[in-house]
Amino acid sequence: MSLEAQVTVASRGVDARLAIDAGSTLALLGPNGSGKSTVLAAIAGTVRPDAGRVALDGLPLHDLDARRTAWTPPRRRGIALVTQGHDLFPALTVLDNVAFGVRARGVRRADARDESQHWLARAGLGDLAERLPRDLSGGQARRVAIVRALASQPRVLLLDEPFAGVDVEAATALRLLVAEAAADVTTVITTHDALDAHLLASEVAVLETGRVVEQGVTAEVLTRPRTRFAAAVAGRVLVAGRAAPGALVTADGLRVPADSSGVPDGSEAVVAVAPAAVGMTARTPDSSEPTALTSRAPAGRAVDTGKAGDGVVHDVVAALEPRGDVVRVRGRLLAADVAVADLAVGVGDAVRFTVPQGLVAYRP
Amino acid sequence: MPRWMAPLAVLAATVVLLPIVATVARLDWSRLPELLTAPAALDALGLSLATAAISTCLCLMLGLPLGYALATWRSRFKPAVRALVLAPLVLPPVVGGLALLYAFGRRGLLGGALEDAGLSLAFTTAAVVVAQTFVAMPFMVLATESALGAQAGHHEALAGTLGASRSTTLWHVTLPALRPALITGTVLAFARALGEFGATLTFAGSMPGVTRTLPLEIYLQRETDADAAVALAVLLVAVAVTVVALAYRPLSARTPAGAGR
Repeated sequence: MSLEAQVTVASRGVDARLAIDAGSTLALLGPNGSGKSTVLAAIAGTVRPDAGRVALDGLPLHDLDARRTAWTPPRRRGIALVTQGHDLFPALTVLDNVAFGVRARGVRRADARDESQHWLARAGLGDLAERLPRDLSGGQARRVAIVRALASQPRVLLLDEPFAGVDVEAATALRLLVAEAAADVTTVITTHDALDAHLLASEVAVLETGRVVEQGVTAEVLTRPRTRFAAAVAGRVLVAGRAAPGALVTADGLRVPADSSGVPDGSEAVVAVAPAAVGMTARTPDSSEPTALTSRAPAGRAVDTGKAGDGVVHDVVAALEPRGDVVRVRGRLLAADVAVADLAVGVGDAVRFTVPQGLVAYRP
Repeated sequence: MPRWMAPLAVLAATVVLLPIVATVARLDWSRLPELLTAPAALDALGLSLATAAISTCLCLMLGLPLGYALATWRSRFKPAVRALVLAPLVLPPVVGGLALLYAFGRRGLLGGALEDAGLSLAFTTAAVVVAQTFVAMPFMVLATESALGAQAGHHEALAGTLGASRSTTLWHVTLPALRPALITGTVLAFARALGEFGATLTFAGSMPGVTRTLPLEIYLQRETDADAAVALAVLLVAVAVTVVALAYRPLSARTPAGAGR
């Protein structure tokens, strides 16, 4: 089932458009509060948007833009939604929760219980069948909710942040389940994690404050983001400038070696740099260094950033972000991931970034 | 709990328990079998249990939908409507009885129409049921509304996305989740209906075997035979306390969905 959606919810600042091919998986990628849940709820019909249209295989499920508005209630859409909240019906056992999804298809009670047992067993949850939701861990409850959604055999499956608030071990089991689920049915997964988008989705749409700023093939969007925002979500730093032979030259005159064959010389171009591939050394701003461009920092302090020879950027540390075993050292132009043990700089210190080989410049 | 609150708690318990203990102490045990098996007493007890049971069923059938509607209704008029619907909680029962007379009495708002239809409510057993339902309904409405609370609609919406009809969702999702609240509401409504006095006396009168429920019988006996009144009072207290003790669980003891995560 191919899905097209245009969702406008003014009260939550959402005005998003997205499309998914039949059978494929779309990751709706954006930070918390960007309106991901609202978009899903509108597609499922549990929230009535102010305007927009949702169509499955070209047939409208709702159309609030037409002169005669059309609205299909959630129960007739065949779109199952798994939210971040407490989804399981608290008074029913795990088995009965899943059986509810099966019976909603019109299966008789006894058959529904048998079938639900199979669904649970397939997901490795057979042992939990007789438990009540309050006796499950968060990860288990999320898995049961996904199994229940699958058991209703929806035309489209919507998963809202399926890995949020779940510990690492449970997330592994969940990822397996989600990957399996997404293989069989048209799926939309919201996530704030580019890695999940990479692992699970063939396409990605990046949501910034309610608007889709980029949509396309996951690998393409995440490795060659066109907007600063998409680059940030994808964990990359976008450096903008103009194409030159074998390099990209920034407005400050910094040359970043890159394959620029795809962009005409002199036209606008960007490179996306992965901080993990950037090298960094501390730098004492002394006279033996090649003269660097000097600019006024926003704080009013004179700092030097910019040109220091091909592939080497002089910069000043603007922020330190802990990311597991590494610290992302963010400068004004670039960023580098440095092992925690090797970190010897603080905010305001001068550093030298080494740009990785093999960058490709492309049109923004 | 801070230690200084303990004496207050004891005092509170005393305020409630002392009168009950005093009543039991006043019992004439030797005459008890005779007093409790008097025809008037048995009639009143039977009538009380039957009418309270019917009223409780009515409260359940009507109060549940009203509580559900209040929980899911989004409107700025909701507080006002809720206050009006729950008015019987704070109204003196005699005022409630008068109000019922003005609505359903022979010369009341609907009385004429009812009379024409061959129905006369006032001073019948049906009037007792109406009076009890009137005063007991708010307990059911409150219990339902507070149990649905802020979560109202989340599970129902999800059941919808699974393809379930609204009735299926009501029977298999909403009602099972409401079960503890429904039991609480039912018990409180039954206990309130059983003890109903003022509205019943005003609206239904006090005809032996027809509208004279146990509380009315106790009040009348007090004038002629205090021992009989005490015996019946202890019986009423025993029935009510037993029902509450067996079935009532505080609403807060409900485990919210997914607790323990």
